[in-house]
Amino acid sequence: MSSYITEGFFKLQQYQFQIHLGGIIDLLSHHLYSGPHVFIRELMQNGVDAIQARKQIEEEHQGRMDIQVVDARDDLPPTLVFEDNGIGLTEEEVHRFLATIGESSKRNELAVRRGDFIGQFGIGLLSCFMVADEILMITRSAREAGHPAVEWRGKSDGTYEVRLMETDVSPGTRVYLRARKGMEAYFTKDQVGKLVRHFGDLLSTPIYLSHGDWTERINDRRPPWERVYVSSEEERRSYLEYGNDLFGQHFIDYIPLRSEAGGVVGAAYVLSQATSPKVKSHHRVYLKGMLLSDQVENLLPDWAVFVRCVVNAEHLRPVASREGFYENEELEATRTVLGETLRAYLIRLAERAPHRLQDIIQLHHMAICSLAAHDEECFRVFGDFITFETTMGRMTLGDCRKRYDTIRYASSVDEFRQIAQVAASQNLCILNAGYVYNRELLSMLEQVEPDLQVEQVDAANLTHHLEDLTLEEREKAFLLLRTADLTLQPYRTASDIKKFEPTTLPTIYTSNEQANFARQARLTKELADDTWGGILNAFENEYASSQYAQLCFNFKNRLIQRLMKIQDRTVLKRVVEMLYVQALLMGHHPLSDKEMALLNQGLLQMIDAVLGQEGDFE
Amino acid sequence: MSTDYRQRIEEIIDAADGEESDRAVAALEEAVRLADVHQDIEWGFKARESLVQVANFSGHGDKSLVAFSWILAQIDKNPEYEDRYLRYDLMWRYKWIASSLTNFPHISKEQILNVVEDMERRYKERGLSMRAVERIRYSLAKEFGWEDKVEEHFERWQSLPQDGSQDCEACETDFIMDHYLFHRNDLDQALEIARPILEGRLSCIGVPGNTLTTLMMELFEAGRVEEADRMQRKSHRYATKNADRLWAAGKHIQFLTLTDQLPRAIRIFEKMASAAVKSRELSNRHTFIRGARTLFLRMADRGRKKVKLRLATDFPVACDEPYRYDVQALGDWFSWEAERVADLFDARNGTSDYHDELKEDLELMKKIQPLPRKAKVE
Repeated sequence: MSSYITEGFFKLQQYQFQIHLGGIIDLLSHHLYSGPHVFIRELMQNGVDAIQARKQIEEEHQGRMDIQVVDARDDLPPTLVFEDNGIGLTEEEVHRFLATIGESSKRNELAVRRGDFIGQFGIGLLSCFMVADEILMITRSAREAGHPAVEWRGKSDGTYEVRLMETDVSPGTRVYLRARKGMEAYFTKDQVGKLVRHFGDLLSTPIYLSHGDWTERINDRRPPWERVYVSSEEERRSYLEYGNDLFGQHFIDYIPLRSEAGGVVGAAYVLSQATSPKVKSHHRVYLKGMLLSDQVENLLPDWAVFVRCVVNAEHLRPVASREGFYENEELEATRTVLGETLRAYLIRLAERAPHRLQDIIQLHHMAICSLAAHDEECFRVFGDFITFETTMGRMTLGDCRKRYDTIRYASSVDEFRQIAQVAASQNLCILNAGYVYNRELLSMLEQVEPDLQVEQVDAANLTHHLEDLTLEEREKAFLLLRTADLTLQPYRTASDIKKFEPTTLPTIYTSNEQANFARQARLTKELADDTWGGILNAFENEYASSQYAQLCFNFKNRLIQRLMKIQDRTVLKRVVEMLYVQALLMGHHPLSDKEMALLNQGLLQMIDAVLGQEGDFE
Repeated sequence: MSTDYRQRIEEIIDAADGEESDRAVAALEEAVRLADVHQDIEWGFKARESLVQVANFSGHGDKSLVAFSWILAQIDKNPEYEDRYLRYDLMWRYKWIASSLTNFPHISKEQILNVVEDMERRYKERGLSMRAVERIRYSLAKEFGWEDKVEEHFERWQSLPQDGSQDCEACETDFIMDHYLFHRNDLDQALEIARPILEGRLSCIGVPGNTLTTLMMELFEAGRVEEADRMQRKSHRYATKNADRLWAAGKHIQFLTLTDQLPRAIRIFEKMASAAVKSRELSNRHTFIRGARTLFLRMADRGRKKVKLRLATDFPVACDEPYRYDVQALGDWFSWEAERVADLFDARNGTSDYHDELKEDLELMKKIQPLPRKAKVE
């Protein structure tokens, strides 16, 4: 009976795949890459690699690439000629590398010198089939002087022809592409120029674009980290302008990045607009000068939401589509170094320009808090800079830690308000942890700093710390307390009396989680029909019986002093009711209908009393 | 008070979205208070709608229920609110609330039945199938010991149309399996029914976790320990997610104790004990208490005097030195607590089921079946 739990349903049988090359080309070109435009990148990559290979045998070799746009003529579609003066290929290499997918002229050397080449997959050229039906390549190897030039003609159905040429050409490779119908847009001077700049901006090999008589070097602008500056203002301007141009957005600051691991150099730009905690920053990443992608997410630690980077990496390994990196140790190490750089920047900022750091934190507050609340590393970076509302004014968590051995907090905004005044007058620093993520941040603090005391203060236990009355004083207050208990019983509130500062405060209303819940049940009961009313009542009784809210009078307050002298219980009752409602309002508790009625009655009676006095004068 | 309270409420709702934890519940309660102070009905709805969801799936059925009843009351006052302010189908959620009522022994039988009437009325008003209501009536018949009605409810339930208001297919399949297990006592047939779940073709937030947990104990009792152990291993993560899973955690502790895997039982106990102590969902919590009782009684039987446990300081049994507890004291406390809660439920239900279960647990302890060695090293 139990067989289906233990045995699988499949029996494996082996078959050989039938591979249709045309289909594979289609698959690669349309699904592996993000769009047809990447054929430019693939051609440039092949060119750069070929030049690199040639430099290994001719150290002094000056590489260059030339791209020529030839407009449509008569019935001929527009054409692109892509030329490099790199290593070139022999006939044998042409067969080997261009006929076998996955083979690459770079693979053999790979084990030895992975660092030198960008491409690894031998499929780059195939991407040209996205924009052309036929690829014509003329290549001559620089390795073997006597070897003739080779012409290779490949078609998108997977067939190709090779012939040796008799004419003499200089070593290197020339690729001719004729626009496929509908793809002419990729063959204009402007579009090609834009794409070459987009992908090859940082390449050190000069790239020339020509169109008719016109020729121009495309990539002559160097990134800010490669330039030399006379002043720090000049440097700052240069970095920020570059970032602005590149991303089309304004940044408030920049951080130069450099990491041995991954061979990374570049800059991180501090975003000037708030980020959402759930959206990751997209970085612009070049690999050996060639743009890999402007959508890379995994380059920085997760907490680095406030920056957008542009970097050039020398040793990171791209994924097959060359639009992101493999998650490997090198990337991990790079991320750590870059994270350290950002962290060092923040710490420096905290020392030298704390207001600028505050601006950044303010701007990205939600994102930073949400990450710091869940990520220990992020907490270590930002924790100290996050500000809390406290009974001693706004303060960073770092300052709180410096000043106090114990961090005390109130867990809701209401609770904080209930105790703020009292705590402040006693020089007690209590943090308001009622806002989103605040409490998680504090539990993270506890986790990160096990020696630090982090303590929740609820309003109810705060009053335990207030000064008690002497026996005689207590007797004076007896009637007030008794009347108050009876008056407040229907509101599930008990009374007490203590001495506390400020003396201007007549009462504090304190509650706790359970009493709050009971109160919520009671408020809801007023709305609900009988079916639900009974149930809510049961909840209220169940929870409120153990935990009452409390109205604590201040013995030092003048009004309370006067109240203790009054013997008339009706008057006492009314005043207690008013004090109760006032305390609720001060603590921002929603009022029930009954409490609202108390407030109205009380106010009317007061107005009445005032008018009565006026009357007496007449 | 700041004028941007709406933004704060929204932030809280966003932050709590999909996060089923005590903290998310507390934050949403705060959002509710904010809306109420400003007498903002719209945000009162939105905050409570999230609270109903989050509280329900994190073991705070009481809070879910109060928020839900507020929504119902407001909609009774002004039916337009339902379409205007609510993102999700209110009646779909009524099922959660109605089925959670039995969790609280201070809610009387009559009050529970009244709510089911109310649910039925509202379903009828909206032209919905009675299938979801019948499903609740089935559970109540089980809870209140009306065994003779159980089969009747089951058959009626099966005949009622599925119009999307009923439980999801995974939950319904799990329910049919339960019926075969606990009413028809047919384990083989139950396994056959659970097949689509066990093969991973049906799943939801509760399935397969609770299916596996249920089968784990049933297979154990049938002497099929190795299969049971596989069920345990596949669902232990489920059983320790949050306070909503206390019953599953309790079953796992019981099973691991009965198969002599005490260290694994203790790990689950440590992880969930603090939530169990605080939980207000008494019957959910009760299953955990039962599991813990079995665990510590068993340890005492084996002559163990002390045990090291990583527990929070608010744990109701005192330790003699940090983290070192007296096994006897633990066994006593959990036995006492189990009896106390069983009293509450049996009194409300007018049955002796909860006490009978406690006796059965002790009987089971006489049938310890250690796992064969090879299964342990999996």
